[in-house]
Amino acid sequence: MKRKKQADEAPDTQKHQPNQKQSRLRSTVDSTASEDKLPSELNKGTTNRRASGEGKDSIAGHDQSAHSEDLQVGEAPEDEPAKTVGEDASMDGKHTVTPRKRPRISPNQILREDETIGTTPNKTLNGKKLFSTPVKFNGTSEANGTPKLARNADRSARRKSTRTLIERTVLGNTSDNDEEEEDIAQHIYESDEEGEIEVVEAGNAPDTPSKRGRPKGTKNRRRSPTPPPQDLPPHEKYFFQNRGGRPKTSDNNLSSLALLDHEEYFSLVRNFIDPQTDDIKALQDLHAKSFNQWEFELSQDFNLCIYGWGSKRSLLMRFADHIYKSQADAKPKIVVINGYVHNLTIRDVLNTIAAAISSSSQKMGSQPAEMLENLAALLEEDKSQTITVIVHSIDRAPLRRPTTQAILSRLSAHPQIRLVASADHPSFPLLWDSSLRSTYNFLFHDCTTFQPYVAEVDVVDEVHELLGRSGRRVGGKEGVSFVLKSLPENAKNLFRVLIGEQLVAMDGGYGDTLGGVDDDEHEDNDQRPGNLRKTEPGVEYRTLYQKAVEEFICSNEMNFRTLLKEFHDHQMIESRKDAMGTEMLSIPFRKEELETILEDIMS
Amino acid sequence: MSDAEETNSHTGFDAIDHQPAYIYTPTGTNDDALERPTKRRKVAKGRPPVLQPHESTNSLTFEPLIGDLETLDCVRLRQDCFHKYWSETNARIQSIVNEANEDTLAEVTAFVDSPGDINQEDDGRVPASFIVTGPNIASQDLLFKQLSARLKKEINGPVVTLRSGDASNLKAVLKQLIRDATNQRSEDEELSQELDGRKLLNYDLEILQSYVKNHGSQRVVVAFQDSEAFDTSLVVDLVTLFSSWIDRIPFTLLFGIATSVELFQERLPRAASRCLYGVRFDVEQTSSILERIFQSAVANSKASLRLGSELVASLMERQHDHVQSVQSFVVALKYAYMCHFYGNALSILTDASTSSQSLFKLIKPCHLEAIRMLPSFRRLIDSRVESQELIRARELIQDDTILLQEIEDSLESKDGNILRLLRAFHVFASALSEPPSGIDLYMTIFEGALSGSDHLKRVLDSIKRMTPDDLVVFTKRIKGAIENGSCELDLDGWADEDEELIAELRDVEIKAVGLSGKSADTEKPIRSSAAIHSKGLRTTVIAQRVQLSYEKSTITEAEKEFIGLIDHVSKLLEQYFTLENPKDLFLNELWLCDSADLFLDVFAPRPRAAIENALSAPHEYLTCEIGGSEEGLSSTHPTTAIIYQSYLEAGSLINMADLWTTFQEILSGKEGDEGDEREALMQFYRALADLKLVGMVKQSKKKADHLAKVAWKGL
Repeated sequence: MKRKKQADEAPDTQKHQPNQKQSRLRSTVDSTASEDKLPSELNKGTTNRRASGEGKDSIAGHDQSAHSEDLQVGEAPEDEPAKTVGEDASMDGKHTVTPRKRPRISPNQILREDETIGTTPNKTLNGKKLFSTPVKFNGTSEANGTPKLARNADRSARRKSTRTLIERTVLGNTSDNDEEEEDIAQHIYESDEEGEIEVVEAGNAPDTPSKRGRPKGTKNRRRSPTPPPQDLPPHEKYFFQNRGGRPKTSDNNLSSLALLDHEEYFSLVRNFIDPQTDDIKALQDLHAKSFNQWEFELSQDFNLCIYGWGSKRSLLMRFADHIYKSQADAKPKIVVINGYVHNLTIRDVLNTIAAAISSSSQKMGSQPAEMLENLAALLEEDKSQTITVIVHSIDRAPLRRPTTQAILSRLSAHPQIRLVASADHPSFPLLWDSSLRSTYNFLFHDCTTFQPYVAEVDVVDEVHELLGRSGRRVGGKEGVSFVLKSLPENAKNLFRVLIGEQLVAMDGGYGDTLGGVDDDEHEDNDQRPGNLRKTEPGVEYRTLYQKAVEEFICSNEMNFRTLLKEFHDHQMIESRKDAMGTEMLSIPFRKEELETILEDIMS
Repeated sequence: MSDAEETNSHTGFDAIDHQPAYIYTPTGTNDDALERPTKRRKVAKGRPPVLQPHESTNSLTFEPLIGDLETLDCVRLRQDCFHKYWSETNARIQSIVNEANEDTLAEVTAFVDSPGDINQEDDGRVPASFIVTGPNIASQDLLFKQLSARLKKEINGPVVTLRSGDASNLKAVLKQLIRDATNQRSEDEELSQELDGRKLLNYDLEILQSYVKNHGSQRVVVAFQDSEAFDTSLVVDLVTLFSSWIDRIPFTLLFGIATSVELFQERLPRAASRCLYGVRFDVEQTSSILERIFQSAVANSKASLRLGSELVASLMERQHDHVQSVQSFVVALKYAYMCHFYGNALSILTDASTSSQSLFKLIKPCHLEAIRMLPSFRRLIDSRVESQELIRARELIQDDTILLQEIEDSLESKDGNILRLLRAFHVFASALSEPPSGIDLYMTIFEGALSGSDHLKRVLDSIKRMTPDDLVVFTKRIKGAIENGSCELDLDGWADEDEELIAELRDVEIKAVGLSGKSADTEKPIRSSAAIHSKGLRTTVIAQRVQLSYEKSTITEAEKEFIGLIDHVSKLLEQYFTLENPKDLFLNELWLCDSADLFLDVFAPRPRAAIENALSAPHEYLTCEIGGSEEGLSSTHPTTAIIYQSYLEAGSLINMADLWTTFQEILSGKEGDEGDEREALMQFYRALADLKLVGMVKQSKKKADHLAKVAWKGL
């Protein structure tokens, strides 16, 4: 295995040798030239050396790339690259004698190199001769020992990091918690990359046209294209946007922006005139033209499901009007279900339908399945009547449970029930397996209305949840202090303790997510080991209880519960179970806000 | 939250919008909602001519087509046609569906009636029948419905069907079981719940026992419709419980099994499987039922509407890859009928029974105009022009009476043309001992591609491999097919119409019989023509050189004659199976339904593509005022679309602050500086909430104020 690997590699190294030779030669020549022409450059010898070291490093990098390819197949022996590099070095010694060409290097170019090098201090470690004399050369090739070792260590780390990156990309699990690992990997990887970039600059310099630069250049261009490529096919775009490494986004945040509360939002909505109103109306009229067809489809024992962008609520209500009018004498019974209402249950649905069938209150039973059967029996009584059930947002959370969907589908399969549903989510067909689907017997219609989701979405809450500021629900920190003012001293103290604990947790190793610290400190936090990163900062229920007891806030757990309940009722705290099942309590505010609240309480 | 909403519910907010469920009455409380009155007015205004007739003829659900020019009579005719034809077809389908499960039903009923276990001492084992339904869970429902109806009719005792969805735990299942079993015949559940003065819990099987005793039931059938989906421990509990009650309640279990009995048994622990004994029943598989339904509903000679090959292909693909259910095919077929008669104004002409005179009275200039728009009319004109009948072509375009004449002719010939296709279909299918799938064959024929198809090639090849005896069988089969017709396709024999072919075949047959008789006499078997040709080539290796020589000497006279015969038959068949492409026939749109796109959208929606398209190209839906047609961002686009565009351009992490800045800039680009920041923020909020609603973003935990991108367009 090992031998085979080496054999594979042999042609590779040989291929590179000519280039190497050339570059070595050039570098020696350059050094003499600079000594002749620009005496001031003598003191830049070190930096020049560095640049040549870069050149060498790039070769190593090249080998490295070959290795990394190997790595995907199997594991390459660790000591191998060292060997090849060692050979390189000894060859260097041999070939550095005959100068042939005299390419020129302008001072400002060197300057530029210096600048770039300056940005990456970690490169100085590998830094070696560019403008060194042959004599010096031997020395360095011998002195290579220590840096080589370091470099090897560096390289194996890099190889590992490459592997991690590859695995990451292949497996596609860029979930939050393994990020710090990725971070390190990326860090190591980039340290290599930056080096290569410098080499490219040197190589592409007008005066030193070298073959070596080109493959490097293409490689680099592919890796970090400055303008994001346009017109990528979707899957390429996915991989491009999910490529390894942390996405580069700015550190701006919205802390300076005064967020909207419900009141302001609704007053703005009321005063807002949508410029598209006419268009949207026209679009709806267009959909309304097929009402007749829909009705026909319903009459043929099909159920309808309409989907597409925009709220379909008013369209369906209009359809309800249409049904009502078209059967003016029969007084059709229409039941509307608002699937987006949080506290909707399937029992509500069945009860309402039962109420629609007969006004007298019927004993329906408690289990949905039982209710459904009773409902069917009710329907049997009058075979002529049909009930149209309009379900807005059938795919929203209250109706998503499989059992609920099963009941709904069986309801819709009843010949006297016609179901008209709307679905908002792009993946709503996943709700139904083939059995449910055939029970539902849906016909689907694309109804893109572009109407705003007014009733369906609680915009302010949703956005604040996206922003991680769900604490706004209480009315911000003012609200919290208001609530606290009306609570007994004990409760205030408990809240103070909780804030204190949470602040400690935020400062500690729990990872900082709600806090608005977006600078480097934040990055460091990310790199901290431990899977706690993913969890938001919180205080364990037990710990808090202990603290409360210690501070004589409460004497028993009952007491403690009562105090907590008050906070829960005002949505001032959140409670959730972490992966281990321990209950964690937290206050849904950011760090600064917590600090001000704490100050308020203490004052 | 509710406080905030209540204080803000001045306009646009309706309390009823947040009520979970309510009974809708347009004249009720919510009438004062802003949009509704205007909307209703609009509807009324939009179609006054339609509304009038609607009120007068309540039964009419079809809409007048061709820009409301169609007369009511035509509309009614279309509607009647639909009801008539669909109910005919549906009846045929239903009979097949019922018939298909008939065997299984009978067997299961027989088993339930008398479990037939000879050594049925009281070993506490529960009789069980395992019904292997195959992976098609969608049709399990139908089967079990049929089963329970059948069993209820024939067995004295309650039948209960359990579904995995209802069965959460043992208590719930028992409750349901008892309720269903006891409610089936009497409402006196109150009575049975009290026994000896004791109040029984509603999941006590004693209730069932007393019920069984009172009614003298022989069997209590419990069916597990989707047994695989049940929690194993639940099934185990039930089985052991039933077996402990078997001495008091005569349980019989039915298990619907989608995989195999072996797998089912593996799932059960031995303790449970020891309590069962039973028989396996196989259900006819979907594909064979489908084939039969297809033959009787689509390929049937009495079917008035035919599906085009394209449509059948897409339906079949869906069957194979996705749904695999007979019902969904039937539903699709029904939808084809609905589309045809609802959406095609010319479908009045599909009606074959109406005499042409009364039909032509209905035809108005608008119909003729519509006919002139048909692709098949265009093809007709093209062919006329090609054959230099320019005057005729012009007349067809300009003169209504000439066109009417042409229509009449083509309608008359239509049936003959279809019949010819179907006969070919039948002959082809029955000529072979292993015919290709009827659906494939149908598709090939209705593509007009049979003459060059692999199917025909295979037939011709097989003829070449025949011995005279085989040939006799073969010709007999064809003759039989022609003479007897097919009952599946409702084809009567048509021997008198295809006299030539019959005569030719008879001729061939006689000759072949003669040949085989002769060969029997001479004891020299006549080889098939393929055998003759393949054996004719000889390779001999002489002195390291290969010699190829043709062996001709051995062909006998009889064999020569036989080869001639075979060639003759091949030619006959080739000629017979050279069929016209139905799509080339004039007015094929009247009886051939072939638009697959429509079906895919209606039965297999692509909501994600629809939403993505709406957001990325809103100008296709809205006019977007200025610059609406151009791609990219514009402040006149809906705000969500603007955000979505930025969203598409961003990486997997999106900085909200930057998103907000961008958004604000784009919006203010329109209004100049007057744009209100708060208003923009409101729109921003709305757009973000929209994106969250459709599951495209979620809060990122990596950085503060960042969004994680969840969906990629086009993936």
